[in-house]
This record gives sequence, C-alpha cells and structure tokens, in this order.
Amino acid sequence: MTTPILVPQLGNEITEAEVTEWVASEGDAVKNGDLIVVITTTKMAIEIEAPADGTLKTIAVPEGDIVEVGVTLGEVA
Amino acid sequence: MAPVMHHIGGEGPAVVLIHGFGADRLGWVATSPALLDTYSVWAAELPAHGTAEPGPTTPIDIAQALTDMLPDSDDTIALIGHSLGGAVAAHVAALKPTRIGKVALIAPAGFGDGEVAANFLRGFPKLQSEEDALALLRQLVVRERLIMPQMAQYVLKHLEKPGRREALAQIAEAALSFMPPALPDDALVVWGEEDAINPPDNAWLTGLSNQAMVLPDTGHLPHVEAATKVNRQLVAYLQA
Repeated sequence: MTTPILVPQLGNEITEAEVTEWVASEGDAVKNGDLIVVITTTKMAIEIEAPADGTLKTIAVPEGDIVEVGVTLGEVA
Repeated sequence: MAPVMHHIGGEGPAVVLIHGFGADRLGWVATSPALLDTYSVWAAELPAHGTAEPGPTTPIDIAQALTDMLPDSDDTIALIGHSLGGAVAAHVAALKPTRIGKVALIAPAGFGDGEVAANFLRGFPKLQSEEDALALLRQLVVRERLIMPQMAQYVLKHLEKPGRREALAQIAEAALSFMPPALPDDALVVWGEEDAINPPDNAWLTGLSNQAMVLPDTGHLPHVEAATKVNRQLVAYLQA
C-alpha cells in the first residue's frame, strides 16, 4: 500500500509553497511522524512528516520546485 | 485602524490566533491546517504588523482594541496567542470573560521570570540587511533551517512600510516593561525548553495548576518547530 505525502491545506490565502529540502532520500526507511521534507511558504518554513511507516518510495517533486496545496510530494510504501 | 482581523478559513466555533512581536497572520501557517476542518479560524494582526497600521503599543491597549473586532459567534471564542500575542490574549480574556472560552498561550510574554531577549526586541525594528535579519530571526528557533531567506526578505520588506520601524520600537519597549495580565484559570500553556527569546521559567511552570506542555529541542516558535505535537495538544485542549 502506498501513502501519498501531500502539501497540506494552508488556509484561504496560501495556495503554494516551495520544496526546500528533502530530509529523507528515496529508499530510506521512515516511521509515521518522522520529518521527511521541508517546504517554505511566502514566509514560513513548514516541516512535513511521514504519513505512515514504510520506505520513501518516490520523491515526486525536487527541491526548488513550487507546488500547489494538495499536490503529492512523494510516496511512502 | 489597528489591529486587523483576517478570516483564515474553515467553519465552526471561532478560534482567534494572535501572533507575537514582529510576526503576522502568516506565522500560523503550520497551525491553521490542524484547525480548519473543525473551526472557523481567524488571525488577528497586531498594530504595525502584517496589514495593520500602527496604533496602540501596549498589550492592554492592543487587547482593548481587539475586543471590538472579535468575530460574531454563538459559542464562546477560543484564543491562541503566541508571545506578545499571548499577553494580549490573556488581557482579551480578562476584558471579555463571557465571550472568550478556551485560551491557549504559547511562550506568552509577561508570564514567569525568564529574562526576555531585549536585543531581539530592540534589534528587530532596526534590521537593514538580509544577513542581519537571518541571524536575528534564527534566534527564534533551534533548527535554523526553519528560518529561510524568504522570511528575512519578507521582514525587511515589511519594515520599509511607513512608520513600522518607529511603531515596532515602541511596542518593543512596552513589551519589555508591562504589567502582565492574570493567567486565565484553565488556560493551556505551551513553551519551548530552548526558548532564547522568552525563556521558560521552570519554577513558575512547575508551580502552575494549569495544563502545561514544555517541549524539548524547541525554541520560541513551538507552533512551528514542534507543529505536530503542539497541534495535537491544541486540538485536544479545544475539544475537551
């Protein structure tokens, strides 16, 4: 089973963020709640945690890319 | 007129977020996602911060102004205040006891005897370069990567708006010498153990009968640096 890592809902006025840093690499074992990727909004950085136990199977969006709320950043399987 | 109240999103009982010195509504970006499914989330912007023009400078006067713009709500309104916003939230709760329900205070200014970093408060309004802004802002956190150049640029751009530096300098002085409000009886208190701006007073925290959460490896922004834990605690507190 794969679980997507999503850009969370950030409120009415923030619709996108930049992928700043992947803290985990593809193939890394991760646990639910582990810090996995940092994204930056207009102002603040936000840490995104692994949504499930497993392996970081895919990084779908590289560092430096701008993504919209709801986009899949990667997958844990 | 200052302050300003923004609706961040969501439907349900009202929660008002009140930011700290130098911040604005966007500082709650890691908090609001946890609340938007259940609450109507509002973010106040204090005078001379964000979209708010300069205005009152002391926590009590800011709180007084804020009481006039609380959202309409059939239920009591919950307040979540950070740092200076925590002091303002406690004042609002005291001024409007029938309208305010739960109050969560994150590293609230004026509570305990921790020595506030005057260099941060006095240095912030004078920032000129991105390098200096990054260095000062990184005092807010343990994990420096949470303060990116975007934030430094954002702060410097804000400081260039007319009258902001002067107003923020006045607010900083007021924040260094104000009479704190009473701690609301059932307020939740959250603090970062490594807070370098408004350090926790551990003796004060230990003596509290209130629910208190002290987070290891966390600086002055627990709602950013320990967002998942803080959000879980906030939601549990608000729903209890």
